[in-house]
Amino acid sequence: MGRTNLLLRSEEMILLAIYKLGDNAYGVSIRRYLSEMTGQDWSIASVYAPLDRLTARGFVDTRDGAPTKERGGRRRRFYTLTRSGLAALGEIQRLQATMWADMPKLI
Amino acid sequence: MSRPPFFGAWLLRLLRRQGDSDLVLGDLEEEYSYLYQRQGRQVAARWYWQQVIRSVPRFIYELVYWWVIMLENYFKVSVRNLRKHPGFAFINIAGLALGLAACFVITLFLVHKLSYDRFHPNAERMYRVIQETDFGVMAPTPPGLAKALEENFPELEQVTLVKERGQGLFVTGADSYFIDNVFVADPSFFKVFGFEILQGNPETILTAPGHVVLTESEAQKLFGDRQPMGQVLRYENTRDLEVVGIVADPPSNAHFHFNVLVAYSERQQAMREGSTIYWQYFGDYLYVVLQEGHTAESFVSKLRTFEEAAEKPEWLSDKAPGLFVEPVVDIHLYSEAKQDIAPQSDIRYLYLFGSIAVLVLIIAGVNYMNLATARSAMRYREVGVRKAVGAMRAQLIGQFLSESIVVALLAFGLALLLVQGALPLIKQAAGIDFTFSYVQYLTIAAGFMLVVLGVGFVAGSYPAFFLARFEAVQILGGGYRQRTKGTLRKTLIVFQFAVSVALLLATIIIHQQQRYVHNQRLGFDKEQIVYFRAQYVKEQFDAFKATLLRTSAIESVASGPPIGLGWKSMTITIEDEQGGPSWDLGVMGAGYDYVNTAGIEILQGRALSREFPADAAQSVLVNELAAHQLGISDDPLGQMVQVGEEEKTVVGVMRDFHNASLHTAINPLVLRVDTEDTYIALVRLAPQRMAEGLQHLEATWAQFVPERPLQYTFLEDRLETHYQLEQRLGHLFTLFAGLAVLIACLGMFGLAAFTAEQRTKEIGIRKAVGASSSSIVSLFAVYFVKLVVVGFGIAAPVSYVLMERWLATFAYHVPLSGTPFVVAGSVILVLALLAVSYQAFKAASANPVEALRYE
Repeated sequence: MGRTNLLLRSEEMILLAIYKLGDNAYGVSIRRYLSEMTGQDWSIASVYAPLDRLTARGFVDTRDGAPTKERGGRRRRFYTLTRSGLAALGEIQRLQATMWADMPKLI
Repeated sequence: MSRPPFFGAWLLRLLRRQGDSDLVLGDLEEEYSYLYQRQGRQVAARWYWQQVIRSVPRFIYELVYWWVIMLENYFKVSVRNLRKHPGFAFINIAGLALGLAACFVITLFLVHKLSYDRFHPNAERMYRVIQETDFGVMAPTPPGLAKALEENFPELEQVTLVKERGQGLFVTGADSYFIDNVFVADPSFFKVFGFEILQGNPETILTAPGHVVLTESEAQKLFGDRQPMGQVLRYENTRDLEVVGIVADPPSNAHFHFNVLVAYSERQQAMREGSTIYWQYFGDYLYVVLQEGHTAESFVSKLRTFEEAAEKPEWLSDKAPGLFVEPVVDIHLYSEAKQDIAPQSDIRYLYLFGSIAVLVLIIAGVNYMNLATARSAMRYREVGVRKAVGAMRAQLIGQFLSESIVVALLAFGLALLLVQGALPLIKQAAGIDFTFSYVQYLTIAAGFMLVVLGVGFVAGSYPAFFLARFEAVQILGGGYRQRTKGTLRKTLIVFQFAVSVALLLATIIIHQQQRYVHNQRLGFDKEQIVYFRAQYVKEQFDAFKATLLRTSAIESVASGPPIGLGWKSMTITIEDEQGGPSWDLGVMGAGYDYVNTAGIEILQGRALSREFPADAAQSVLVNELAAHQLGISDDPLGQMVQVGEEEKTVVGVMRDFHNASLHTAINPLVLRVDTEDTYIALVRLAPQRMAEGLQHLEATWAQFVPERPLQYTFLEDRLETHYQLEQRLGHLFTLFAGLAVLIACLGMFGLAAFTAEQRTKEIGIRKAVGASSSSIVSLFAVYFVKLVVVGFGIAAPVSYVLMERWLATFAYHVPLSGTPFVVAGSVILVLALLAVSYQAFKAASANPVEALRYE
């Protein structure tokens, strides 16, 4: 975990997922979305680890929902992007564009 | 509705420390229910476990990472806090580090001392035979015993004899060397002792007369880079020896060290093989290795039976010679045998050092906690602020605890550095070279680490558990008052000083005792004696002496050898009429009053004196050992003894004294009058008036021998070199006691600073209403001096009782006087005042405006 300012890939993907899922971005939905998108089964840890870091860095805001029976009486926590979260994504987007701009089609 | 697997959940909850385990579990449970409904319990459970297992490593990693981040954070905050009050921080850390370092060094020393002689392969089964005689327990054994043991005791795997020879002259080619620590050893020496043979055949080394073995260093000294094996050395101008082996230098933790081992000469071998046992005589040092499965007790009882059954000459006293056995590993610390092969130490010193180590550590730890809690008490505002911005209690606790532990660990690090730096110096001071394996060092270090963590934890728990309890509003709103009047702190300071005082007292008293013991063991009073070459006043010696005695600053004068330095006029070998082995009798000649001047104690009879005309040529004094050897111990006075060609009358018995260093055995000695030989004169000066006495001496000398300057030497100085071991222990002790005091004073200093800061407001007000600086200073001084006095009051009686008991363990000891108490008390008081006054002055001279501005 080097002290670089750029988002890790996993972090980037989670931020994107949160964005895409809008109001419904919580643990389960994020995990399902990412698994579907990448075709690989993401474990709980591989979601929460980056999520924790993102929260710590202030890229993500949280909002707690109502407890449900399916969750054994526990609440859901919904995530949304903060301004800095969006900015971080934006930075990646720009970087992506500039670095990939002159690459030929690889596959 | 099924619950997800319990253990899986529990495991995750365990790992998920961030406090939101519920989220993860909730998610998992949600998906579990989903699967359960669609695909049944089996599939759901299996998926759940899969998730758990896949997540575990990640979570562990995250957990560790999280800890590291937290620690990093705490560390940063700790350092920041330290920077804010660098003085405090320094005192705190330094005090703890010093205490830790001191304790660490002492521990290393103790471990070293306890490890003596354990390196021999048979260490557990090695014993030394010693005998109890009329003189007490003696280490040298009766000649002839070794052979008897070999023949009659099959349970002894090995038997070996060692003779101590002291210094010897060795000549090789054109060079002569005086080598110390020469020993004569019989062929089985290396079968018993595990000294490492570097060159030479272990089977044949020392088996024939003429063999000599050198240690590596000695070989280096004698032969440099040349091959030492096969070289010839001429020993004492009498025999030629061939170097047949080189051994590694004996390790520092052996109870005797040798430089040269000489094989038994033919004559010595013959004696060794002889079949008579000379009970109650003192021969050589006998070491045995017991077979496996045999106990020392069974060996000793068999020895006793053997003794009783053995033939003994009639003149032997009724008291049976008691043969004893002591384990070799215990010799260095526990053996009380006299005339030991080398000077040994005493377990009592170890107990003492161990106690000091513990005490110093306690003081340092207490000090640290005291200062740390004092400092953190001032942070109650910080706590308030942090709580106001939402810090959780757990966080705060974690914060304070880790800060405290971090600082403690810093101190530990510093301590280790100090130890590394100081160790060479300490080794020099103690005269011991102790080396350690890494394992030992690390084990000890780990142990200390635990202590340090403990100290840090306790120190941190005050702010953590006490301060953190308050609500933010309480604190910031001014509702918080310093509840503790500082009684705990005061008690701790008192305790520290009590311990320091006790240590100082112990140091002083131990020094007194050591001096006393020295004199006892020497057998004569070595202080206040000077000696010089007197052959220039030979003609007028009587007049010279009379003039010297005109002042009472000179107590006594005599011509004679400088006692304790090994001089004798001659040695006579006496053939024993009663069938004992031949032995050497030393003959000393000295002028009248020699006994008084040299400080020799007369046990029976009288000293030689002019009042008895017969003394000039006929009378002699014998020492106890001579009396014993001559067979006249029971009724020595008036006996006639053969000294060389002549018969002399014994008129007095002298207490045995070491005429040579403590390292060599006391010899039987006879003292007669010899006024011809005035080569050296001794002068005993009165204790408090030495300078005066010396002046008079010089003046008198100038009167009698104007053409030569007087060159005199203090006997004590010449002797000092012999008794370094105990001296050094004494130094060490002083060092550590001093450290304890230093730490206590540091604590005082820090606390004074804290108090000053705490009471800035009060001081400001006092100054504003016109109190003078000096009254402020005295305010401080009194406050703290009271603490010291209380500390002293506690320590003095306790120390008195304890030292009384310790002294009582010695057969002869100094009486306990008031001087140590006065000295210790004043020293502590002065130091404490110094520590406090700096702070006091600073506080007193502070600008009251600044102080009151706080409001």
